[in-house]
Amino acid sequence: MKNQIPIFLLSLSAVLLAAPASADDVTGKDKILCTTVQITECFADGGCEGGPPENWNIPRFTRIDLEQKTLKTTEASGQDRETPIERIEQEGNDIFIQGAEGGKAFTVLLDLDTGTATLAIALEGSVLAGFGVCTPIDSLQ
Amino acid sequence: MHRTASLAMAVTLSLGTLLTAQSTVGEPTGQRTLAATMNVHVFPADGQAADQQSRDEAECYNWAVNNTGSDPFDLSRQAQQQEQQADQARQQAMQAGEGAGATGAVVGAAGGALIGQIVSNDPGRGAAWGAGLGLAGGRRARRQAQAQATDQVESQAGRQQQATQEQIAGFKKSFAVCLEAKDYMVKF
Repeated sequence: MKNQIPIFLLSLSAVLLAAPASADDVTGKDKILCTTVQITECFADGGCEGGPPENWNIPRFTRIDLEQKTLKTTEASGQDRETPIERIEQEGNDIFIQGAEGGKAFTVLLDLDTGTATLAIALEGSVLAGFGVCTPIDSLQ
Repeated sequence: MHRTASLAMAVTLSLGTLLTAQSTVGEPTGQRTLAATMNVHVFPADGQAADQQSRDEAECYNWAVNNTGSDPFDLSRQAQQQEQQADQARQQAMQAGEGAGATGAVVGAAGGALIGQIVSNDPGRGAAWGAGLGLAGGRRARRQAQAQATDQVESQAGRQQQATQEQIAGFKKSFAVCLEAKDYMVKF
């Protein structure tokens, strides 16, 4: 419980800092912080279920390092999770970030102009769709 | 060493009978005899005294151990250990299939993969897709592995239990034959 309070406060501060800067211009930035608010999972039978990212063990905040090619959780989350990015491709003002891990394949479409992110993760027998907003990490400092 | 300890236990169990032996031939003493501790019912058909019966039972116990190579007290301990081991193996088998498919089980888990630790909110529904196409998905394969591991544990535990029961039954037969030769009526 004691550990959860500072984590909560750090997360809250990250939200407060990120909120006014949500959907920022991230053009030319290597280190980006993205937040995911809602996830929808769709199955082969056509049905879909939505909910907060925690329901799928997806972190609220994810740091994208385009230079190091990694997706990482924030320190404030208390989780130390990381996934390598296998492919980064830029097409106009969009960046496609792709990779696979543990039988899951992911694609993030990042709009550099607006900082909006569209996430798709293919699981076995279902697909997760998520939407988020990103901001350059240096804008938080 | 085991046999000595078992015999000592048997003698101790019978000691009460010896100490409280009544002069009346064949009259129950109220104490459990060595045979009674093994659920073997013995009646002194020839009117043997309780102390004589205890000595005969101890002698026959020793003879049956030599004859069968099994000691029921050791077998009982062995059966308990096997049951404990089987319980542990069951738990391990159950854990074998858990992990990625267990929604919420890894939520908040620290360390490891970011994408790799993402779980479906309804893994059974997702797996049905692969099952419908006759595909052996990872999650389904894990469930099958879990079921196989559990079956294997149950099967092994069953075999061990059966073997122990057969050894105990063999011992009792041998014990009974010996007592019958000494003019006791024996049922088990």
